[in-house]
Amino acid sequence: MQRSEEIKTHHTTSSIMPEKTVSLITAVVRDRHGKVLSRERHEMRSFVRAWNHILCINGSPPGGVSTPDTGNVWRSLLAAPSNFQCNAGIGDVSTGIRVGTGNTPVDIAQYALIAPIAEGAGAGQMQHQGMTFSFIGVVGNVCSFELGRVIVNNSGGAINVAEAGIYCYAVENIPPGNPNRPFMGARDLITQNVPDGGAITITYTIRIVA
Amino acid sequence: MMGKDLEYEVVITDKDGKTILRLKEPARSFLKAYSQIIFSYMSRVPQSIKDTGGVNRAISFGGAAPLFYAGAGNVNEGIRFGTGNTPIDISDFTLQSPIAQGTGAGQLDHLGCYATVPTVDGTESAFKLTRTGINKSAANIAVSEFGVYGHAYEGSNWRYFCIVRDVLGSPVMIPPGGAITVTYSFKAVE
Repeated sequence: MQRSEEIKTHHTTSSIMPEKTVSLITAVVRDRHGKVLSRERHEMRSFVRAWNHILCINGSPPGGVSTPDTGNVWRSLLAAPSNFQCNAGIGDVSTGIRVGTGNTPVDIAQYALIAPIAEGAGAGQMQHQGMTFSFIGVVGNVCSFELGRVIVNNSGGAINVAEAGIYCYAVENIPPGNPNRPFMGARDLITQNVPDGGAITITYTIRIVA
Repeated sequence: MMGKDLEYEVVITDKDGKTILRLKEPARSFLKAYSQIIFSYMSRVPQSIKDTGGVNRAISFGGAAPLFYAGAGNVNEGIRFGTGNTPIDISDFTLQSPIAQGTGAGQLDHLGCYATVPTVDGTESAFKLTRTGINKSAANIAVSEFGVYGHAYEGSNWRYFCIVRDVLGSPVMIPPGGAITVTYSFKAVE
């Protein structure tokens, strides 16, 4: 079937880099019937401070690394198996891919989306489906995997999505409980309008290259 | 942080501590095992990962898991040095010819390996992982490769994986009494 809608493809810095060797963010917007309205794919802009700090604690004795959680509360980290966990289920916005309406440029020290969209079906809210993961594996000298999430707009009006990010857990060093805390590991700017009844699918393709 | 923002520095010193070689370059490669471990941590989906002995291990989550720091003399984890010069393959699961811990011929005495406290400077966040190997034997040792070993859990057992490997264009020579220090800088860059 011929698609009449315009597919918006947005390339930023990836236009000067081999697309198959960089990490990517892809956003696809569909209407209430599943028809694709727009699509955007470009080089993933940035893992941010917390990602690097969570990685660092896995090379450090306990208590050596602190970083702010998504509420801007500094937490002393602990190397633990919950670190990087982001397999959020339906309606869970503590971890997983989040979207927001803030368009402030990415800064390495950001600890949360500027204006994260809340879970729900009320005005300005979106309904988050469960996270999906796929390990693609090795193709040539590239090893990659994907994580994705569908986020549905049943708010009654259109929502402009301007940012996306990855929230994940890390463990705070408070024995004996050592609670999980949410951190933002990556943030990117996108420009998508999601109509009422429609949905946006965000996919991160994470690659390493030998 | 998944490959493009890693660099290394190599420093060779003689028996008096005098620097006789220093080189700093972009690191060549995280390896498949690193991608699999991060994927498993994020998704909680088990992965079959080849350990440094070439055995496939089903990675699970049974307890605290410091990924890649090591005490003195521990060569299961942390930065390792080797004599192999086979080009990097992203599916490499070990150094080609890792140098054993010790003071005998062809061995290095490995000091502890720990990450520094990360810093934020302008547009990047960075931390460093450093290790020194001392040549206490009576002959030169040529180092051609190095990398990072880490661990994850299979059931309740620690298993060891090679997550980074780099090969030098030409080997560096460590004289008797001298030392090699390799520092990896892990960065997240805007």
